[in-house]
Amino acid sequence: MGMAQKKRKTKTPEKSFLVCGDEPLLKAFCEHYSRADVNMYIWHNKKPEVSKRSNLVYSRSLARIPKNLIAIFELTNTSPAQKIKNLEQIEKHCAKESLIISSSVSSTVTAQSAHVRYPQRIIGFSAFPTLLENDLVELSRGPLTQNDALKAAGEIFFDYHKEVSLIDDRIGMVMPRILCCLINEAMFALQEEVASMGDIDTAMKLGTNYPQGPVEWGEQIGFDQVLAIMEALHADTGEDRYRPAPLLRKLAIGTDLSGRFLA
Amino acid sequence: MANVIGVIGAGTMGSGIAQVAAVAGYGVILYDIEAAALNRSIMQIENNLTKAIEKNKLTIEEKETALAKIKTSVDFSQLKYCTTVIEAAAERLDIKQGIFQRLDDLLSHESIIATNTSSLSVTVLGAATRRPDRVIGMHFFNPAHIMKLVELIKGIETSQTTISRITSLTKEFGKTPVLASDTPGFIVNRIARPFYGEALRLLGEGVAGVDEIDRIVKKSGGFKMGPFELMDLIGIDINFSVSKSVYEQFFHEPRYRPHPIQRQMVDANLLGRKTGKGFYEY
Repeated sequence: MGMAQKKRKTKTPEKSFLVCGDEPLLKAFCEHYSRADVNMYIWHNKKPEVSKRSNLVYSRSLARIPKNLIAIFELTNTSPAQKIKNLEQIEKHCAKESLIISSSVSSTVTAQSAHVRYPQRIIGFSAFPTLLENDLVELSRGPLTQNDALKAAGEIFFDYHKEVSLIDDRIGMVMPRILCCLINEAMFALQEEVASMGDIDTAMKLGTNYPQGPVEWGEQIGFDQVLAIMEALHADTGEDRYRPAPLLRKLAIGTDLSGRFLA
Repeated sequence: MANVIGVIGAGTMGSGIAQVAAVAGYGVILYDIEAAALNRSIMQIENNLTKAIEKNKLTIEEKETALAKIKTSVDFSQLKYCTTVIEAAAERLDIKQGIFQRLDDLLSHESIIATNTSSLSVTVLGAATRRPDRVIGMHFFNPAHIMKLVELIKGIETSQTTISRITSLTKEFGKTPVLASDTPGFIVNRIARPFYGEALRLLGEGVAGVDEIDRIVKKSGGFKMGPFELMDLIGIDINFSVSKSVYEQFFHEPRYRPHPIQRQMVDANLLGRKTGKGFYEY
């Protein structure tokens, strides 16, 4: 088991991670997962606003990033096409032993595996805004993911004091799917004027003890992220129950509706 | 007889509402067709108030004062001088409509009739009276003496004055009112549906097991309880019947479709904590 890991460690003199993908997730990941003993390379088309730390290194181009990385975190949820492009470039540049820990909320590890040459090192994880900071990370594997890759990914999260939960490889995973469906339902209720935003949030917090109201939670997550998951669930299952609320689409586009539904 | 609140139905919800009104300083007439139900209700209220004393939330004097404010009766006409009557009878339309018609005949013109329904239409109940503008939903959550939320439901004809009066009353009860339109499930019972529905689908599709889904929802989502623990607490039969009711009332909108696992559990009498076994064993 530990063989693959040992090999990786001897090849890589210093511990380095690469992170790329959706900007809000990128920021949250850098804030929460940066560590003194790990170099975190950020590959993105523009420099994200993150707290300055010496071991956070930004680069617009992969060429300036070392090839031997312990792990690559791919955090794209909003565009499956962009995710595939990123994975293809990562494969061209990085050593084939580097783990690819890829957000698999809006596309499955299975679907991603079909586009890469070395799918044995791809592991899916539940990268979703507001959930990254919490105590548990969902992991999933593709048909070709090797056990030692999965174990190595589990160990990386363990180092961050995270519990992991291995679930079946499915769009939305567990928590993002439940959460996005709750927010989508709140959007339907809001557009039908069942209640104001404030009253919907108050009702869900006081009536069922939710940690946050679905409207405020949606704002923190970003409605484009919620829409991406709902669209992916809708496309994957063909079920009407996952169709995004028209209001969710508007908010995801960035229409400024602040004030319109205020209590 | 100013500020006397009538409560109809001495079950769990009616008792809780009577207690809340009495503790807030209102005179209460608690009505039920069965004297035995009224006796049980007073015992339940006494127990609740004793527990509140143990938790230093109430003094012995306050308990005695509150209890003295509650009058029980099996005589419907005793409700005559109530300014507001909160109906918490069995969740059946014919029963509630009958009560609303009798109240409409009995009460003064200004009095408000509120219903604690969780699933019936306030508009339909209002239409059973000649005062639909003074009919409103007042949906308390169980246990009513602890849960802070009250959903106020405006029927099509409910007036702004009625909404304002009941909003103030709810606040005087020490509760937090939210206002909802008269749509199936109102706010909470509607928006919470995916919490259970998606969890059941994830289980049915084999994405993860019961324990695993609950663990993820608590540790990744920060929820206090997982969906399966919560269904066991609520009662799988109750949760299933709310799911079916919302689904039927929305003319089979697929977002609210119940799951076969729910029916199977109910068929097997695995209803959760109350039967000792549901998704978990107790």
